[in-house]
Amino acid sequence: MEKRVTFKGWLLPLLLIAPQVLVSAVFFFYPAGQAVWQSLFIQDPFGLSMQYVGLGNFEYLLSDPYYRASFLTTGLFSILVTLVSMIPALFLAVVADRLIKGAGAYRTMLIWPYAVAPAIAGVLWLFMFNTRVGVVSWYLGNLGYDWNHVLNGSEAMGLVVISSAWGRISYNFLFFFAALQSVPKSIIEAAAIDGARFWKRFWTIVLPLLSPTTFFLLVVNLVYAFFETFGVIHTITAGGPQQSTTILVYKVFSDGFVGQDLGSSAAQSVILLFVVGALTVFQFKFVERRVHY
Amino acid sequence: MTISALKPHKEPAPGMVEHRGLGLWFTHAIMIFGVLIVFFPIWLAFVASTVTQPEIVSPPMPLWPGDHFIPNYKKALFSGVNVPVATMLVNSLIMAIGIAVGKIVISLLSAFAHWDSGWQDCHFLVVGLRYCLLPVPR
Repeated sequence: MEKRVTFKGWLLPLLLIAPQVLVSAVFFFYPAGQAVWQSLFIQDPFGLSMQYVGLGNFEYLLSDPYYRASFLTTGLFSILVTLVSMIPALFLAVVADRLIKGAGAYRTMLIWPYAVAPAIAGVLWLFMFNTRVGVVSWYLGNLGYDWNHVLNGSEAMGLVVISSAWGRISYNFLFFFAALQSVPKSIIEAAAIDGARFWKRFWTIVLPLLSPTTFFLLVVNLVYAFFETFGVIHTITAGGPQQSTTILVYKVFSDGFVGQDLGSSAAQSVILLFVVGALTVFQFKFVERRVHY
Repeated sequence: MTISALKPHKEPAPGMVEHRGLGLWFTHAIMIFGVLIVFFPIWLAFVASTVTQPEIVSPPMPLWPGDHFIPNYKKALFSGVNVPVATMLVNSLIMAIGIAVGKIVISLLSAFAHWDSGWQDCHFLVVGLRYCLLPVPR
């Protein structure tokens, strides 16, 4: 290990990290501690009395069929969001990479959706698929398909997935496009001289060289689908119909702030805390080291 | 990631891997199709901002901009429904600048501690914090 220039005392470094420690204590450790503490109690809806129940909240949650269904919904939702946002992005990036003229204009229009906040994206897609005035649902009705995400759980899931994935297509496109630009042209040409057609080159050269980017985006998109799609779900379906779009994060909100079951809500956020922890360890273990092939 | 990494080649590399002629037009056609699908919601939002309320709520709403661009934007910017958008823009700007500056200053300070201190415990503390605070990369 190389020798670094170091400070002599301990006061200055302590002072330097003090702001970050303070911010994380106030906005992360204190609320997280409160959640852990609160998950051991049941509380009446008015917050007047608390009763210690030990791990009762967790026992109840894990035997609750709705909570287990919510796990499955979250899994399905995040896998779908990841696929729907990554595959079109890779496709568009590959096509854009083949164009020399006009790529800038296409890129500008493709990046635009990333500037739309999740809640606004939800409203926008709801506006398009509204069962009465939505333009897309109207044309679907003309084609003979009766779109109604208010009643149909799988249509609701589809709408929520598309709205969440839409903005991420731009983000993934940017990363894939940058990664494609850094694939050495000489390798591609060499393969072309050897007689490899486009698809052969894509599967055997380009895709393996993209694997670090792909893996990074996989983790980032999964985390996004898990924790940042609250706005989309809240504006479009509010978890309905019949809890078919209630993901874990949304259930924390609806049980805690709508249902006023604060103990159960806290227990759910403690479970999510472990999920976040596992994802973080996973990410640091694999993404930081990069994928080698 | 820098902008320069995203810039397309200035000099077209003449080679056997680029499309020409019919193939090039086909590639453009695929690209335009993809862009149209991805851009459609934003286009629709723009169209909705240039027509009147009755036109929006009577399906199907128009897909081409109407003639209410100036009155709609004037109303939104300077009177609004509850709050004029101009006020909200100023609020957002203040918030965004505050958050950006605050984030950078705090991280900069702790990064200095991370790299320059000989105090091992501090190093571990900062790495530990990083594990706690960065579960979500953006």
